[in-house]
Amino acid sequence: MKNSIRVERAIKRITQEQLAQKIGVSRQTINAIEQGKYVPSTVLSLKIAREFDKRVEDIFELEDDD
Amino acid sequence: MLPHKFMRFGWIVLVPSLLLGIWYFISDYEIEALNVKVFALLNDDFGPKDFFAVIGNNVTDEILILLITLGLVLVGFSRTKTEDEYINRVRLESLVWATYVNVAVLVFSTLFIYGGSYFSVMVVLLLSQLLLFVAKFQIALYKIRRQGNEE
Repeated sequence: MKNSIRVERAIKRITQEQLAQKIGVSRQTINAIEQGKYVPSTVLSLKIAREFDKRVEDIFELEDDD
Repeated sequence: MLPHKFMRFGWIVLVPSLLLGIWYFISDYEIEALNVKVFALLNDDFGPKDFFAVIGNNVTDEILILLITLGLVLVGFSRTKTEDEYINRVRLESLVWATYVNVAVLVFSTLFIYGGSYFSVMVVLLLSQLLLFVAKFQIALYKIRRQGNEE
């Protein structure tokens, strides 16, 4: 699964730390998600999407090997 | 999960008791003052079994095993400062990894180690799963924190 969190953050001009604080996780978690090392739970994905005023599918995308 | 404040207490208990435990394991040194009477549900010194008996015993090893276990549980199962679902998954993965390694060591020892040495290995295996889990989890946490700082 890939995601566009890094891009969305750049558009909104917020850091990993700021996004992390808003959705109640650590900065390392945002970092791991952006790097594709961690697939967030449905709840966390929904929170991330809400933070960017988008739908989950706009931010997270399935890949061939999923 | 235990509150974060127990983590520090866990380290304070774990480090000295683990060092003393290793020392005890190697030297078999027992503290004289810890020769006490204990209640035993079951006791046998490789002889006939005693049930519900009060027996004399040196409790150096009992105390060390309990302290090491307490320390490991507190360190391994207290919330980290920034506990969230990712850390939680890393913890579970560390626990599964430790279980696999422990089972591998158990099988290997059973197949290739015999006599009194097998008993020694069993003593180690008593604590090694938690020990491996805590070590693996701490290394994983360290790596995660370091990666986060490189950005």
